[in-house]
Amino acid sequence: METIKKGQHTITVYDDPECLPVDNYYRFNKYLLLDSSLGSSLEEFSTKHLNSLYVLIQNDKKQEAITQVNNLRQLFFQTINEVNVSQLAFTCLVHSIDGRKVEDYSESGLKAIRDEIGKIGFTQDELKKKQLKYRLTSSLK
Amino acid sequence: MSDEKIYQAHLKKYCNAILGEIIDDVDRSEEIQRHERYFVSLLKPKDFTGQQSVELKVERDFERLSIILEKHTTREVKKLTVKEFYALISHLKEKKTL
Repeated sequence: METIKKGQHTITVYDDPECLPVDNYYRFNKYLLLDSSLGSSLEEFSTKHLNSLYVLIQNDKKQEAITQVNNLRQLFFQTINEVNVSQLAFTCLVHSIDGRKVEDYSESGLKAIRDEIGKIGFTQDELKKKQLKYRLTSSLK
Repeated sequence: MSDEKIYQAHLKKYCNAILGEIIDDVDRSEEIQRHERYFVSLLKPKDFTGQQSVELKVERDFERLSIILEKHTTREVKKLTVKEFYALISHLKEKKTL
């Protein structure tokens, strides 16, 4: 496990399949799947969905276009409900915050962990860097 | 020709057309678009809504696998580490009980 320090606070993160519970691993992968398919921010409305939708309509792929619109709607609801799947994927790997072991990995539990990490002072960019590192290491292991 | 070979052939011609435009300075946009239309025809967005949602399928499959594995171990399957989980699966596959 890796310990990340920020000021007075410490976060311990699973970084090895020898200690990561399989339930967390499946949740982590599920959120990564959602992130790669639906996206996790408003920017991806255009970059991911509208561009594909445009191409699908141009090529008369009606059924695929409908699926794409449904996925776009899903991303919209995620965004207004402040569900950032990319952040939730990272929080699945958090073992403890300031020595307190995380027990609740449900969606609401993960949101609470995310908020706590945010209060500690981790910026979006720092989390993205950490998450990228874990994505790479988990795909290698 | 298999789908994979057709795909590779399109990819090769597509790359050649793009590079040809740069190297020879000629307009090959029609050819490029033809290949792009082929790549688009392969696009199949996954469905993330309703009962057939990919997200639900992933969750259901994991739950189902956990229930099956529970019968072969005294430990709580979801608390196993990733390494233990896959070791258990490969052990049961070897024993041909899965």
